[in-house]
Amino acid sequence: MENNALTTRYLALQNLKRKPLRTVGLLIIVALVATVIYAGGLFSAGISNGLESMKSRLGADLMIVPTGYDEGVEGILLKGEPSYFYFDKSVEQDIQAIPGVRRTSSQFYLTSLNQDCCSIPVQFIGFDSETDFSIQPWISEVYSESVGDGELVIGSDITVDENNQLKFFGKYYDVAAKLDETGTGLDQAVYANRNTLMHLFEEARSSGLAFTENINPENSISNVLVELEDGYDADAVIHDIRSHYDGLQVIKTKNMITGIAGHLEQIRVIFYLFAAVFLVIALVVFTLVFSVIANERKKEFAILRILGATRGKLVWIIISEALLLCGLGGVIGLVISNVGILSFTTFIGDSISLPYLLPGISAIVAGAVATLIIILLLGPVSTGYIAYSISRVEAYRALKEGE
Amino acid sequence: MKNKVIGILTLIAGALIAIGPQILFKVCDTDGDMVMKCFYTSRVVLGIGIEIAVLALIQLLQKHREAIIASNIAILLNGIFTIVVTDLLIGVCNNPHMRCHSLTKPALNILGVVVIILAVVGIRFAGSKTAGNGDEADGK
Repeated sequence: MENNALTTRYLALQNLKRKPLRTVGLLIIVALVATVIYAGGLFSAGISNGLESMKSRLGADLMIVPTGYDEGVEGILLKGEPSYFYFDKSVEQDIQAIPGVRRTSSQFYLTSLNQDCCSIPVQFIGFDSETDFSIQPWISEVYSESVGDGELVIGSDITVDENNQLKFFGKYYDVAAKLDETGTGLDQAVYANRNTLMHLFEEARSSGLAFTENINPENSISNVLVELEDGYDADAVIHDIRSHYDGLQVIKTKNMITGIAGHLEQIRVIFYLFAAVFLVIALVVFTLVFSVIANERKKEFAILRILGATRGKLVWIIISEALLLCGLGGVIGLVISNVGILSFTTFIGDSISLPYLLPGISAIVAGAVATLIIILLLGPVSTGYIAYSISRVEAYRALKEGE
Repeated sequence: MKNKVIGILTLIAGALIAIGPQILFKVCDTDGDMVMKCFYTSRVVLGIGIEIAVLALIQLLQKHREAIIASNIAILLNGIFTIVVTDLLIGVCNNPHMRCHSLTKPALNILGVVVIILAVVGIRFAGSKTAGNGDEADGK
C-alpha cells in the first residue's frame, strides 16, 4: 500500500475526490462564473475594438448620399451587405465651395454577381486616386505603390485564387494588396480606382445587370466624403448643404459611431450585471456548501488537531479545497469561453451587426489572467471565515459532540 | 459507471454531428441547381455522426472491456474523420461570412475534438481496468 504524507494539498485533494458529485457541481458553478466574466469582457472588448477600427477607417466627418440610402451605407459599413446608389457628380464641386469644408472626395459603388459556386456578391468601392483621403492611407500601410488601372485591393475577408486574381463578370483582375482586418463590413469590400470601377461597370452592364442600364457612370458618384475645417460646426455645414440641395442626405459619421457606442454601453451594463449576479450566487453557494462541509468534518479536524496539526494548517486545508475548485473551475471556464468566442468570431460579428474585432493576443491573455485572479479570490473570500471558525473549535468538545 | 457516462456523452456528440448540419447549425441553403461544397460535407458527416452514435450505443450495451476499447478506437477514428472531412477532404464554402464557414465548420471541429477526447478517456478508463483483473468492465 502506498503511503502518502498528510500534506495540506493531499488532504484537500482527497476530500474533493471523496465527494465527486459535490465537486463536479461546484466546478460547474465556478466554470460558469468564469465563462460569464471572461466571455462577457472579451465580447465587449471586441465591439469596443471594432468601433475604434471603424472610427479610424471612416476618415471623413460627413458622408453625403442620396436621400433614403443611409441604411445602405450602414449595411456596407456594418454588415458588408452590398449596395449601390448614384447621384450627379457635379454635386461634389459645389460642396467643396461651402465654407467650413476642407476637402472632399467621392466614391463609386458597384456590386458583383455571385462570382461562382460557394460565394456571395461583393461590394466594389471605387475611389478617386487624386482626392481620396479615406482609403489610400490604409492601402499605403500594406502596399507602397499607387493602385493602378485594372488592379484591385481587397478587404481581409475576401479570398483569392492561387494566381492572386479575382474573377468578376467573366474577367480576371490582379489583386495588388489585402487590407488589414477592421471587424467591419469593409472587410468584405473590394477597392479599386475610378478607372477600374468604370471598366467593371461596363462589364456589369454587358453581363446584364439591370440597374446599370439607366446610369451614366462617368457623370455619377455614390457618395461624397467631407472633411471639415478645424473649429467649424458640423451642423452649420450640414444646414448649408441641405439648403442648397434636395434629395441628398448628410450622414454625420460621429453620430453613427455614437449610436454604436450607445449599443456598446448597453451591452457592457448587461454584462456587468450578469457577472455581478453570478459572482454573488457563487459566493453564497460556496459559503453554504463549505459551512456544511466544515460541520460534517468537525471530528476529522479534531483528530488532525490531536495528531499535531496547527490551527493554521486546518485553515489552509479548507482554503486549499476552495482554491483547487476555483482554479480548476476557472481554467475550465476559460477554455470553454476561448473555444466558443475564438471559433465563432465571424458568426458572432455577423449576428450582432456591429463592428466586431477581437483584441490582440496580449490583451486576451491579460483578460484570462485577470479573470483567473477574480475567480481564485472567490475561494478564500467565501471560505475564510468558515476556515477560521473551524480552526478555533476545541478538539475534545468536537469529538464528544453527538455521542 | 464512468464508461456509461462517456458512452452517453459520445452518443449525444454523434447525434449532434449527424443532425447539427441539417437542423441546428445548418450549412448554406442550396440555390436551385447550384449545390455547394458544404452540402456534401453535411451528407458525409450525417453518416459519420450516425456511426459514432451507433458505436456509442454498442459501447453502452457492452460489458467486455476489449469490445469497449475497440468501439472507442473506432469512435476516435470517426472523430478524426469528422474534422478531416470538414476541413480538408471536402470542406465548406470559401467565404468566411457564409453560414457553413462561420457556424457549421467550427461547430463540427469542436464536436470532432470532443469525440476524440471522449474516446481517449474511454480507452484509458477501460484500459486501466484491463490491467487489473477480469474481462468485464462493470460490476466488479
